Formats: sequence, structure tokens, C-alpha cells
Amino acid sequence: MDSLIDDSRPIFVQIAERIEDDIIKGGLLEESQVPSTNQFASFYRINPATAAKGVNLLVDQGILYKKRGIGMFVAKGAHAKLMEKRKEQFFAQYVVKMIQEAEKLGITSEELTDMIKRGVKTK
Amino acid sequence: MNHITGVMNMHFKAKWWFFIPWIITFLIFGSNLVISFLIGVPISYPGSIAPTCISLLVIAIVIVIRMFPFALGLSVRRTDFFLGATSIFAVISAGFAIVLFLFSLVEQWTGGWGTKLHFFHLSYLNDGSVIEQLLTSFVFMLNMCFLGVVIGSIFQRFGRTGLLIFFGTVFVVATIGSLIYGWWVDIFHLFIQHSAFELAIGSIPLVVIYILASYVMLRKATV
Amino acid sequence: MSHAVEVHRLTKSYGDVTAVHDVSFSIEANKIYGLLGRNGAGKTTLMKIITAQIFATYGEVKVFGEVPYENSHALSQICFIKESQKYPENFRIMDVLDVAASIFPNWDMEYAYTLIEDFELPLKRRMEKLSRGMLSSVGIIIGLASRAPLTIFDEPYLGLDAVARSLFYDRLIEDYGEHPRTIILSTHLIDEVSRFLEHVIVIDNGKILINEDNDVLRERAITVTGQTTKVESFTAGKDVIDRTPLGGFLSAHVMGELSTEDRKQSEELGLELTPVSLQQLIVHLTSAKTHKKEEEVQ
Repeated sequence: MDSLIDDSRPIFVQIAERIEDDIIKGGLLEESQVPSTNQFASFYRINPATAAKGVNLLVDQGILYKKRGIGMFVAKGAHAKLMEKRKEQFFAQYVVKMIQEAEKLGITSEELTDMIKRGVKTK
Repeated sequence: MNHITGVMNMHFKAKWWFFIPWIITFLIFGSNLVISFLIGVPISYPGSIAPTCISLLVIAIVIVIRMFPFALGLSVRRTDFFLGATSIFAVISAGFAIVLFLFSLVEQWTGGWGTKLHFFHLSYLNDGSVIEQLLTSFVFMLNMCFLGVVIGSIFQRFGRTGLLIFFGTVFVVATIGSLIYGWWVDIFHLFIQHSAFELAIGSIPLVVIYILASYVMLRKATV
Repeated sequence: MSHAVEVHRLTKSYGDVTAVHDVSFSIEANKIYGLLGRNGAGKTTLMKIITAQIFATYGEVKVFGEVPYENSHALSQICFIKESQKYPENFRIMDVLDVAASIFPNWDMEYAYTLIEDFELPLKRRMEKLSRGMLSSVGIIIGLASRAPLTIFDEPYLGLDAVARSLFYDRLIEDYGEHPRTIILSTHLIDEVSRFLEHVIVIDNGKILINEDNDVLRERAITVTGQTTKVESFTAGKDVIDRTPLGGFLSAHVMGELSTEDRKQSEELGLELTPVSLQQLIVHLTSAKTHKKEEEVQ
């Protein structure tokens, strides 16, 4: 349980990311109910207020929405929206860095594309 | 109000403490009865209620010392603890008075349990009307209980040192009083000149003082 | 925001020794607070004054807006579980629960019995025959089942193993979620509780050292690790609370939030940034102060 959450970043951000992951992997379908903040709190042994903060982060982004008196649900189009967001993150975190590193080593863009193709094949 | 009932509930849970005086009393009574039967001589045992009284005193001390920290730990108000304990001791004293009286009646009816044993019905204590007899032993029991409560309260308020100083002072005052001023003689006269009932009535202010003193001390006691 | 506890300029002295020194703070209702600090820092004294078990030398305490001393209404809302709680030796566990039920207005007996099973306690055993861990479990059960609007746990788990402590945390968070109330948890096992504390108060030598939301506190300090010269140049002018050299490397704890420029610079220098855990932070802050004092003495 402890390995799911670490101290490297704010806990509520990590809770939001866990929910995002679940939506992306299909564990949480659109229009399905998200566990309550109390359930998150018990499961990750964190403060319910922290869990609520994580959930609200996703509400603000339109990934989740609240049904009064029932709970939180995954919004329509949340999956696509998250995929888009993650792709952006992927570009910023990996692609840009990779190109920077490639430049240092004098790798041309053709060589880089070849490398990627080779990587895909060997996988 | 429900806090006081909570405290009373707490004391009632400790019911085994209240059996001790009865066990002691009836052990002594039983052995007297047996001896009386064996030797076939009428026995009058004037000290019969002394063990009852002393065990009540001890129990009162123990209850204050054991229950006060427990009660305060459960967020009980000091005043409520005090009121609950006071009610319990009043009930216990009344209960003891009634039971002792009933046994003294049985003792009379059976002619001293068939062997002329005088244990519960005593010539000095059991003079006077039914009400007087009941009140007499009730007030004596109250005296014992609340003397115990005072001693327990001194311990709660001033700790072990406080208690030692208290007993030291009492001892010194009693010694000086009896040696220099001959208090024992005065006390002896007090008993001769007055009936048990008169003494009991006369000791009511003492009970009031015990109660007030314990309340004042417990209000400032910490755990 | 309503306050569960307000403490104003509180001082408690025992003769020459000042256990709590001019302390003021307030505790918001329905949050989980951590009251942390070293042994003898004044935590227990503080909690005993809040619950009117002992008296302050100066200052004032209010619980839900009322002075708690000899105040039935205020006291009935408090449940204080302390390590040194005394129980009548001849009481059985069930007697203790029964008494608690007649005293705490929100007591849930069914829940208490569930917890008894969870903690595997022998209901009919007398208190004098319980192990230290069992006694602690009884305290924990009273604290949870009382559902008191202000529930205080002072080192509630002496003698409890990791499994039982784990159970306590789980039940606490669960029940807090269902019945929100103000909880003050005093402990030195900071790592075990740091994730579910919402607010942290650290007391050291009778004074308040930290009074901060846990989220804010998490970002108050960071560990910088890398080559000694690079770490030195990066931390120059910053508030370094601790440094641990290791060969040619240095690991330094820096107080204060880092700017984006700082982060960029650290990346360029090849430095590793990791957050300082609450436990580490408190250890540094409370021991750093002692060091300073020792230096002053010398």
C-alpha cells in the first residue's frame, strides 16, 4: 500500500494521478462512479481532506463531476481529454529531453528516427 | 445530571468492594456463633460493628484514590465525581444500617441465635426507638465513609506527602491532647453522659465538615 | 471556521521548571492534528491543561468556546486517551466499556464491540491482568467509540506492535471519514502518521516551534545532494539546517521553497532534490535548537 504513494510530491497530486491512470487504463469507465474520498483515505491511509483535494483537482479540469448526494463520476470525454494531456506531458518530459540529449551527442534527426524505429522493433 | 448517574454506575461496577465489609462482619459473626455453640456460654460481643466500620473507612479511601483518576480520565467533572461518590456512600450507609438493624431484630426474636449470642443487638447502641436505632447506625456509617473520603481526598489533592503530614499532625495533636489536657477522659465522659443516638446526632456536623472539606480538596485535585 | 480548542498565552510552571512557556494557538474543528515534539517537550502537560486535568499557571484555554474546568458541557465533548490512564484493577474490560458508555454522549457500543474483536481483546479479563499492549488497545477503543467531538490521543500505543498500530490508523481514518471530529494525535512515530495529519504543531522546550498545515510543511524543506563544491555553491545564502558529508559528496537540508530558477540551476549542476520527510524535518529542527543552546552555553 505504501509503495503506491511516496513523499516525492504532494499527496493530493499523486491521488489525482492514480485516478487519471485508472481512467486511462480503463479501470474507471466514463459515467462510472469514483470511490469516495473516505475510501481513498482508508485505502492510501491519508487524510480525507487530502483525498478530496486530489479529487477536486480533477473536478476543476472537467475529468470528474459531482452528482449531488451520490458522489463523484467520470465525465464524458474524460478518457480522450486525459490521453491528450498525457501525450502533451510525454512530449515535454521525454521527447524534448531526448532531442536535447541527442543534440549534445551530435545525433541528427534522421539518425534519431532510425533509432526510434529500431527501438520499436526490438521491443 | 446524567454524569452523576454515570459516576454512580462506575461505583456500582465496583460492587465487590462493598461485599468486603459484609464478608468480614459475617466471618466474625459466624466464628462467634460456632464458639458460642461449642462452649455453650452466652457471649456478648460488643465490638461487632467495629470491623464493619473500619472496612467501610478503608473502602472509602480506596474508592476515592482508585476511582478519581479513572473518572477524570473519562472527562468526568470533579463535582460530578464528588456528588456521585457522596450519593453512593449515603446509599451504602443506609443499606448497612438497615441490614444491621434487621439482624438485630432476628437476634432478639431467636433469643440470640439460640445460644444467647449478642452480636447485632447491643445494649448501648440499640437503645431507643426503631428510628433512633436506624439513624444511629446510619450516622456512624456516614462518619466512617466520609472520614475515608476526606483521607482519600487529601491524598488526591496533596499526594503522599500531604497525607503523611496530615496523619502526623493528627497523631501529635491527639497525643498532646490526651497527655496534657486529658481528652480521653472527656471523650469517655461524653460516651457515658450521652446515649448513642445523642452522640450520632451530635456527630452530624462532623460529617458535614468531612463532606465540605473533601469537596473543596477534590475541586482542586489533579491527576 | 469554528475552533475546537483555543489556547491563549498559556504557561505552566512546576517550581523553577517551566513545562509550557507562553503558548498560544488554536485548533480548527473537524481536522486531524498532530502534536509532535520530543519527550518532555511539554505535550502531555499541554493536553492535560486543555482537558482540565491539571491547572495552568497563567493563561487561558477554551474548548468549543467554553472554559473546560468543571464545565459539564465542555467536558462531555472531550475524550482524552493518555498513556498513563489509570483503570480500577478489578474492572473487567466490559465494565470499563460500560462505564464509558454511561459517560460519553456519543458512545457507540456496537462499534466498541467490533473494535474489541479487531484488537482481539478478552472482554471478561480484569484490567490488572492485561498486558501493556492490551491496556493501550482498551484506550484506543474508548477513544474511537466515544466519538467525542474533541478526541485526544497521547502516545496511545505503548506496547502495541506494528500490526496493531496499523489497525489503529486504519480504524481511525475510516471512522473519522464517517464521523468527522477534531482529533489531536500526539506521537513520536511521526513517519507512521504524517500522511494523514492535516495540520502539525511541533512543540519544543515548552514553546511552539511549528504550527503549519502539513501540505505547506512538506514543501518547507528539501534535501540537496551532489558534489560537495556544487552543493556548497547552490546552497550559498540559503537556510541550511543540516549537512551530511559523504566522501566527495554532500547532502544538505535546505529550508524554504525553491524558485524555478533554483530548480533549473540545480539541474544544471547535476544535483538531486528530494523532499525532507516530516520526521526528518522535526528531528533537525528540534535537535538543531538544542545544538545552538549547547553552543551558547559554551
